[in-house]
Amino acid sequence: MIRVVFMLLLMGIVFSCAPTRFYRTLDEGEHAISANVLGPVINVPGVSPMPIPLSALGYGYGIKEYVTVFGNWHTTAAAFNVWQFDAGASFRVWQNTQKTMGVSIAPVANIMIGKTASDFRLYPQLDMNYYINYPVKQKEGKFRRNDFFVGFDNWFDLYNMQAHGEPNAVKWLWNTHVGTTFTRNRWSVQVELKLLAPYLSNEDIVLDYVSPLGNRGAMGIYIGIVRTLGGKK
Amino acid sequence: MKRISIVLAFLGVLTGTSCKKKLDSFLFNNSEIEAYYLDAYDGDKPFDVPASFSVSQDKITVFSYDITSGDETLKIYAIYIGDIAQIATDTVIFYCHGNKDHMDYYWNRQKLLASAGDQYRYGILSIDYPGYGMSSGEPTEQNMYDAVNGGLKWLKEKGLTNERLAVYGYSLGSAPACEISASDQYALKPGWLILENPFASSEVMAQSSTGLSLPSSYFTNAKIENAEKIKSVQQPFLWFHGKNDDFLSLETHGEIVYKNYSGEYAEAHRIEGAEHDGENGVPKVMGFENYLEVIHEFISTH
Repeated sequence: MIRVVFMLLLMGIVFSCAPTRFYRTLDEGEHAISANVLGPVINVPGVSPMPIPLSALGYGYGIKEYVTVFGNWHTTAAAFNVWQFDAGASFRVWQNTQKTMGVSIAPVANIMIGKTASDFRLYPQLDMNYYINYPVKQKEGKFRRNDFFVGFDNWFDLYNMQAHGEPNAVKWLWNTHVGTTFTRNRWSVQVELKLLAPYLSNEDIVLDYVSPLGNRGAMGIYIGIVRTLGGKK
Repeated sequence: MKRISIVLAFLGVLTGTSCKKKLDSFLFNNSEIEAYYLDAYDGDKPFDVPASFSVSQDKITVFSYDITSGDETLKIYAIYIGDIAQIATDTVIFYCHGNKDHMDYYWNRQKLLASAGDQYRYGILSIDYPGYGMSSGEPTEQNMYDAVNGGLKWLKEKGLTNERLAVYGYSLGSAPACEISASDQYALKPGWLILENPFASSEVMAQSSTGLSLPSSYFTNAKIENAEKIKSVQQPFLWFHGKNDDFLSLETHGEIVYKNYSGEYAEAHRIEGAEHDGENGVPKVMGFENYLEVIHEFISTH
């Protein structure tokens, strides 16, 4: 049972499988490369709850101070011969005058390509985030500024039919998340907790998702590392 | 920047070398053993059965046969309960077991069926799919069908005919049960189809697990398209499904299979309180006598 549950739960590969992208826009002309791992947490019988080992490599570029375009290649999916990418843009729609907090939205296209034309999938996504900068005291009275962020992401499954001609009853999947980013020089580490589809039952499926809500939704844990290049020093 | 490039190159190579994997090898939950212990098996079992369902040793035959699947020749192990010399005149139930372990795990289920009607009223054949129990090979969807076909050939050689064969598919076993019931390419075509907690398809499993309308080909080459194959089944169909099945849910799996059947007779038993397997599995929750009576009634009257 362990093997079948573990592997079938890897089917969670594409279920909101990525951490939040660029809730804070890059500086104009700034580049960022990133890598992230982990995903929804599942119970593996006889072992322990563990996050699905999803992974992705990404790139972002600040075309304006308030607009960052980005793309990601999902490497765990690639290991299963599924070419999954996401591409989008993050728009900062509000920022306070001290530039210590802001709000951004990010439309994203999730693209998946399998073996045949009928295996192609496109899922639009829209993220909304609020972030706030908080200072962390360092040695010699200096401060390092980290971020706290919270938001929603929304996946839209626009396909009308599911398997065997059954109607697709859930065309909008929303998730909520909270996270923090630790920044030092050009490096940042992002740690995020997601609550995936908290309104949907997680019972009677082959995957045994772990959720703080019990029989609804799933919890996800994501860790990412980002290195910025160029832009303002 | 140089360090980052090295890290990215490493990740790229790592990913590239692991490409083209599917989850097939993990789809099957088989377990190998050195010998079949039957009543003496002290491993995990779905449930115990009372002594009144015991089978005498002279009615048990453990045997093997060879099959060719693709380029491989595989040895398949089987257990027959009943009198082999009577197969030419008996009615036989071919029990296709589920995904877990091997025939020892399912022995009590096979023994139960030997008491449908009167004891030994039906001959009961079970096999271990490739990679299960003592059967050789690694399981795939195709060699599972080939192994079942080997069992059908064995029965046919003993004199069994289509109209005296019922196939019972439990969970994963619903795949070969639907396959041989829907197709003419196998050694025998059963006269009755019985399914307990069947899969609809691997696509339904993928979609119900991810919340998205994803194709199953992203994860596995195994299709297990019972919900489509059942459309070609014309034989009488008996369906059991636990309402509390938390693995293959009644609504997303069983009901679709049942709805897609368009043959001459269908009988549904949605069992309140029954789960996928174990102490709260369908036979135990229904009550063994009641469960066996339903099966016997179905075969004897349809």
